[in-house]
Amino acid sequence: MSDAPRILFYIKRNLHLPHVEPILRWMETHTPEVQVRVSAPPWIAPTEGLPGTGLTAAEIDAVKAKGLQWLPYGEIADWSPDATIMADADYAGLHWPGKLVNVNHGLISKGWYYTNKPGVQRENQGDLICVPGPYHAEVLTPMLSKPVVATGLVKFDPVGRGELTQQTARTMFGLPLAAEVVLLAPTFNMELSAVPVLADRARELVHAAAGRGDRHLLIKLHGMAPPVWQEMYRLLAALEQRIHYVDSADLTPSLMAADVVISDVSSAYMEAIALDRPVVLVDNPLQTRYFNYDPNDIEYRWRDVGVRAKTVDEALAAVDHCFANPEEKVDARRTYGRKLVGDIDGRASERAALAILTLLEREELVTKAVANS
Amino acid sequence: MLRAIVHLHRASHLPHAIPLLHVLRQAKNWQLVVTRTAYNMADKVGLPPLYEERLHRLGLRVMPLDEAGPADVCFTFEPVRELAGCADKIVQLPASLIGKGLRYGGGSSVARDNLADLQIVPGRWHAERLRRSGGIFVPVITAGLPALDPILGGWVAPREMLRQQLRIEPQQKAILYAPTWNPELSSAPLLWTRVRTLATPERVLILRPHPYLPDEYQQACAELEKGDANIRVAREPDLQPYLHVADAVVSDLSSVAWEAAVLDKPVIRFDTPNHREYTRFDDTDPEYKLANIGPLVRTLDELREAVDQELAEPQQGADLRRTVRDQLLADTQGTTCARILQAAGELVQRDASSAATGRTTVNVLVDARGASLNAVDGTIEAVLDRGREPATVHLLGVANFAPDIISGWQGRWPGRVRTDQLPKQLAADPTSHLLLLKAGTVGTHGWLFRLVNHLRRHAGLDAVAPLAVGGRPVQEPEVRIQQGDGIDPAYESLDARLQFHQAGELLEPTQAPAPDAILLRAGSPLTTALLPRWRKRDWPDTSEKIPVGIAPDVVLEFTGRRINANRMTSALHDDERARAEERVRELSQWIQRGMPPRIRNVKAESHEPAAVSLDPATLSGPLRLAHHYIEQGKLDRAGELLERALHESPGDPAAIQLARQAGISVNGYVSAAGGKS
Repeated sequence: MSDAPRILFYIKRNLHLPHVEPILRWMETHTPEVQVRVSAPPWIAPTEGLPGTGLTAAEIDAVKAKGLQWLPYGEIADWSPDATIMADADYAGLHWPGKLVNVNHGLISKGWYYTNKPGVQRENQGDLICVPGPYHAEVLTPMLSKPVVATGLVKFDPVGRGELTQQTARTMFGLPLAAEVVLLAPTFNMELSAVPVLADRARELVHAAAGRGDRHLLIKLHGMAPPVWQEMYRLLAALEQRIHYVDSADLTPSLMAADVVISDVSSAYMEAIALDRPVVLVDNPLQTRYFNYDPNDIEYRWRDVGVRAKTVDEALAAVDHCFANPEEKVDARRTYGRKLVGDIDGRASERAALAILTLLEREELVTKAVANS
Repeated sequence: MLRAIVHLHRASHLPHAIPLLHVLRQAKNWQLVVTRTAYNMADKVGLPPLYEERLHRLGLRVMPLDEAGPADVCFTFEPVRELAGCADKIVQLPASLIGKGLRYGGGSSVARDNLADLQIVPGRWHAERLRRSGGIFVPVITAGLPALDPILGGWVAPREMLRQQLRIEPQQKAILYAPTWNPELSSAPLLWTRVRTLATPERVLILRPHPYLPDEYQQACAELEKGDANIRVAREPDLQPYLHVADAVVSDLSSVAWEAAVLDKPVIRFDTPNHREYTRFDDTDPEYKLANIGPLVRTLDELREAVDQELAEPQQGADLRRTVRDQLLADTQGTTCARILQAAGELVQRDASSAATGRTTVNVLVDARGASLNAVDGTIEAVLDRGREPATVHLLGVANFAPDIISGWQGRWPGRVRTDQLPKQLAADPTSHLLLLKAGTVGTHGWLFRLVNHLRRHAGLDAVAPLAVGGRPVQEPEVRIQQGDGIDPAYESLDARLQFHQAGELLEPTQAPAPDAILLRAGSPLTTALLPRWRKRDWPDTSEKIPVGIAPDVVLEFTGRRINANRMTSALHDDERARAEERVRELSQWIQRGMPPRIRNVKAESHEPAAVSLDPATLSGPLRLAHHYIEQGKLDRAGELLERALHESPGDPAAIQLARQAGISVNGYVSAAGGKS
């Protein structure tokens, strides 16, 4: 086969971009013969309780400004990709030919992913499933007939390569390098999130009490967080000098900037422990009423890795405790972290890219790329 | 001179509009404008070219609604929301004798019908059903069916002339076949072209395909006419001439069948076995309750046989038809259109709605403390110009406004704007309602009317709040209508969508919404307790359960609170900081509304001696059930049980305590002292 393969990177939601862009970049660098394009479904705004899809016009402009080649959604079928790379199990939404690869975008289950449920069988519609860590491959491999490859978490590659450090991240946010930094990274579901528990008292995290001297709070809400949550925390950021509202879709810089992370059952807490950040895990009292609640999912089973809190006062105390005892639970973080993302060596995108080219039976490109890397 | 818009939303309205257009053109004190919805066959709205051409032949220009200019009255057969504000008064006219799950108090018609200022229905059966629906709060009068005026009034063309035009020989009988269009209700899919067997040298068959039947059926009818000298196709939108010449009418669940019956024409109805599959099937509609207007047949052979019998003995069903006519048609003299104009004229001349319905007075207490002039002005306008409810505004906290500003408002709305902060006797007047409203709150056309309707409809309820206020939904309207495509989160859009999909429903009360807008039954214990606190801005926190009904058809906007946090920097002005802090507190309360009290950030402060909570296990059966309903938020049912318990045991302390806790008014059994009053 001599013609250049065409590979489409399909961004169903903006938060998927950091999970596929490094793979595209690796291919551009190491296999320039491959034609790559980026596309997304038509924009539908998220509403309270419902996810949106696609990218806004501004986000599409940002993609183009990065030098990525944009392919309008309506032209995908004509372009006829050999493979479509996506970060979610969106098989039903794709109506063009070619192989389908899901590189996934999270570390946890929420009753949907990496769990022994019939719905997981939807992954069999794909041709290749790339997962972040050995734990995920271990769960999925016995359940699926399609190949499952543990690549590492693609979006951590800049961390593994030393390009994104705590110092660069804090500089990015304009935070003092010596400050104490807390990240609040909750999920979006009313029954699961830390937000209804903390609400506006999250501002007390930066109040100069109990030795909280130069402490800053980054607030990074989930992309599907209800508008009222966004409005409240934007206002808090306007009212408190040391509270910073993060608009970016990429969580990793916020995690890197933080010393301590407050979360709930969000994938963010798994990413935090993989990056060896102490975590405070807020237990929403409505947790078990979540329609897809399953206590066997890792977000519930692995909560011993963090300091748990049921109320805002407990959460405030837990954050202080984490600052005072940063090494506590470090072994648990490392054990779980390795299961979740393997080694953070900066080569997850390379592993994913090579798996994709292998799927396309382009061994000559694989050989060449490996020789060049 | 009064200016009238006659708005045509659907093609099927035209036969009913034509007689009214004739009458309006001849009326000396009316000026006429005809408007129509843009044509869209897929949605079955607007006028197809043939129908618009019919109006042109009458010498009438048809225009889009937005070109019509202001009018005194808009006559419409379907009060679609787009008509809101197009005229001082909207009058809804009947376009059918039957319901089809859409009209006369059935199905989802309640919200739509309340958009009009006056409902005109064909007969007493319809008026009575609307009354029983409990959901119509505009005046309803009976006047007949406009489409029948030409025949009943004798101003349709002579029958013989029409027969000649249709080439019907003197010895021939005429059979009109007029099926409806809905697949589940129409006989057209069942009979299709087999109906041609009704045509014989002795009988001319007139096919009148409904304009919404598919093109292939329309073409099949045209083909039948070409191939059979005894078949005609009714091509004019007007139905009256064809009804006039018919010796018998064959139909199904079309209004035409009942129109023929009230004209004392023999009617044969073809049964449609799938009619229960119709999405709006409602067996309390007149087409099922008053179905006995002639033979109901199920096969072609039965149809032919029934036609033979009916033509041979046309008077055999006359008694049945007369019985139905008495119930469905208030006018048999052909004066319906004249009655309509008279009622509309009277409506314009007086504020008829309050007199006709005995509407409760609404006193609106507007908290203008610290509000901008624009915010207060906008709210008064929203209440008095767009509320569609007779109301008086009482301003609180306008001492800083210049006297000429106040007098300007009082000049613009004479007698309806006061600075008395609401006298105590008005707050205690049980014949009125009290709306507590923060300046800056605005609503769409008819919002106050819709809000008040919930108190009218639910006697056991003492407080109603809109579904959403100020971008802070009480019940997540955008989620409730999530099936809609491309949801526009603007409050006007939400309000418009909700009006049609959700109106008439009373949700379970939730924890107290913030009091940007809350309507109270004046004089109720709840009002007595809440009003002083609202005046002091000492509203209870969300841990205090206040039984508030949610008006799912009302979405309001709070224009004064929105702060563009995206623009904000840390250098906030003092007033911006204060507003932002207030907004944060409110948002926080809203976000935590579903959390148990131990989680919520706001500390509950007791304002009144805490009532001892009742242990349900110690209550009698009915009171235990009432307790259960209160917990469930089903206050209507709880109120009924408590009222019954207090009737049987006046002064029962447990019943009174339950009623007070829930804020339920039980017909005077609960007084401030807690005993029977």
